[in-house]
Amino acid sequence: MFAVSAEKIELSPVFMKFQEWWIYDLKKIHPFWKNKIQSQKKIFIGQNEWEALLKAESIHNFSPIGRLKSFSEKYYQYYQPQMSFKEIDKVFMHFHRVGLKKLASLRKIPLLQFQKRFGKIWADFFKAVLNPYQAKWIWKPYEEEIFLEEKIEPDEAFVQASQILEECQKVLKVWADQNEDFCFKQIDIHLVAFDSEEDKDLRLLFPYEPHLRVNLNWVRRVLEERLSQLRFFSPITFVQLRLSPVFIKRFVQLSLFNPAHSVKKSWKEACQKLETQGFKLFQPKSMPSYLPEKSWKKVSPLEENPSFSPNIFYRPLIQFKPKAISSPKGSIFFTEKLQWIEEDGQVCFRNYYITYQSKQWLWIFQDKNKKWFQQGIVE
Amino acid sequence: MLSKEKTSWQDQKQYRKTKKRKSYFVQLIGEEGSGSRRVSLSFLKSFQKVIWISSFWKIYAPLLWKEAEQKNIFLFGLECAERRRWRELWRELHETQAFDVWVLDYLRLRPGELFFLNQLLLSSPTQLLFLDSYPYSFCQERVHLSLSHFHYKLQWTKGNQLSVKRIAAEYLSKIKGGRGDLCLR
Repeated sequence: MFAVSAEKIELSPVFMKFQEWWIYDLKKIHPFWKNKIQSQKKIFIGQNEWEALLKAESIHNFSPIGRLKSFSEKYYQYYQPQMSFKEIDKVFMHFHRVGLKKLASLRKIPLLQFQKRFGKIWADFFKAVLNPYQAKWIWKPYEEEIFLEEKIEPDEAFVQASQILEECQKVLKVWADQNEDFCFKQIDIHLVAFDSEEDKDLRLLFPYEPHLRVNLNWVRRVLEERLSQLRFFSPITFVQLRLSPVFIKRFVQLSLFNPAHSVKKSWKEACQKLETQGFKLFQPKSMPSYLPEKSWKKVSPLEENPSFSPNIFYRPLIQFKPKAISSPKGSIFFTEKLQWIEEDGQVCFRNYYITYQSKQWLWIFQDKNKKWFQQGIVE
Repeated sequence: MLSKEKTSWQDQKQYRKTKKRKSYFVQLIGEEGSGSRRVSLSFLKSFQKVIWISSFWKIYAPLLWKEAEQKNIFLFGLECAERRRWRELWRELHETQAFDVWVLDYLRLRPGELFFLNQLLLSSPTQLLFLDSYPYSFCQERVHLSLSHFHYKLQWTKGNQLSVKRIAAEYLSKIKGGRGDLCLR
């Protein structure tokens, strides 16, 4: 179950923002609270996102097609920014020409015809609008937008575009140096003039979200071009630069192996980077125990330097936790007698042997109860 | 590495192939206990930074690290049981370029994973040491290991002039070789 509301309400931890609407996923909410939510008039409920949203937009069989047009504009602006308003107009103009005025009349057109005439993007849209119960909504979890902002107040007011450009370039360079994996989608420049009527706003959109550091020179050229188009009739006393960043754009894979990004790093940097990815590098640290399985533990190489006990050479290289085995049938050769009291008071008594079995020399021991265990392979 | 003095047709062909690539893959084939882990350190050079990747850590690490320390090798361990994350791990390791040698400890790689590694490290100077019980393609040196008469026998079937080498199995010779009277049965 999904809920749509015009205001942000704490209905569910899983929610997204679609234009002016807030869409909440209520699948994991207790039925008691679902009933409570349903009783509220400002909240629109549906079995899926499409149904709830169409209710909120009051789009039904008898609603005029013009309402669907305004919804489609919102939809494409959000999910397909490449789609222009002109293209949307063109599609709905066709319906107007053939005299389709209500949404229900669209049901007369087979879905295949939508695809043939307007393409798959439109076919999917109309399919979802006409059969909202079967349609799938593209869920984009809500993320609060983060901006990088810098205010530039010059000692002497700017009178030329080149001065503004230089200052903006400095700020952009600082941002690019601070964050290596830094992409951006929008740059807003607000120019406050001495005469308030001459204030100017400049918005640069970068829908392909370029990398700031790599494209710094190109951004400069774009800025230079756009600033050169402005006419300053009054000196600029204040510049506000705002950048909308996009962090770690991993879903765009330009090269399978990304050879350009490999830059030699120190092992410490590598450890930190791998740890952030959930891989844990380690080095061994000796522990105060003679039991082989408890004689060492894994520690991060960033924490401590390894230290080893002197008796380590008299044990085989392949070791694991003791596993119970039946009594060995072949010859056994004594290696080590171990008597040890653990910190928790546990008394360990083990006689270690090696025995040849299935083309391997096994490292085995017998405990005080005369039970046999395998703890490693000789190597 | 292969030298220019190779005369046989196969070696010449192999030399032409390896000349283009920077990475170097060595494979040590043998079951556990055949000495592949013990011997692997002899394939490493001093002052190399080595990462030892295992899906399930079975090695008595203090001993391995001590031996590496004696050879001035900087060793780092990494245990990753999730096969689906290996490619991500290798890509990260390749990007950082912090380690000169990767030792892949009985990972039982699939052909796709091997091909991925081959493509990933084609122009990287990284050395890869595969320890496993069956042979892989894409390697410049292939060594079969076996334990015989208190020695680990290394038999090259690819690279290194197809020679044979023996390294003493110290632990076994200490326990069994010198003190046969300790046999209890």
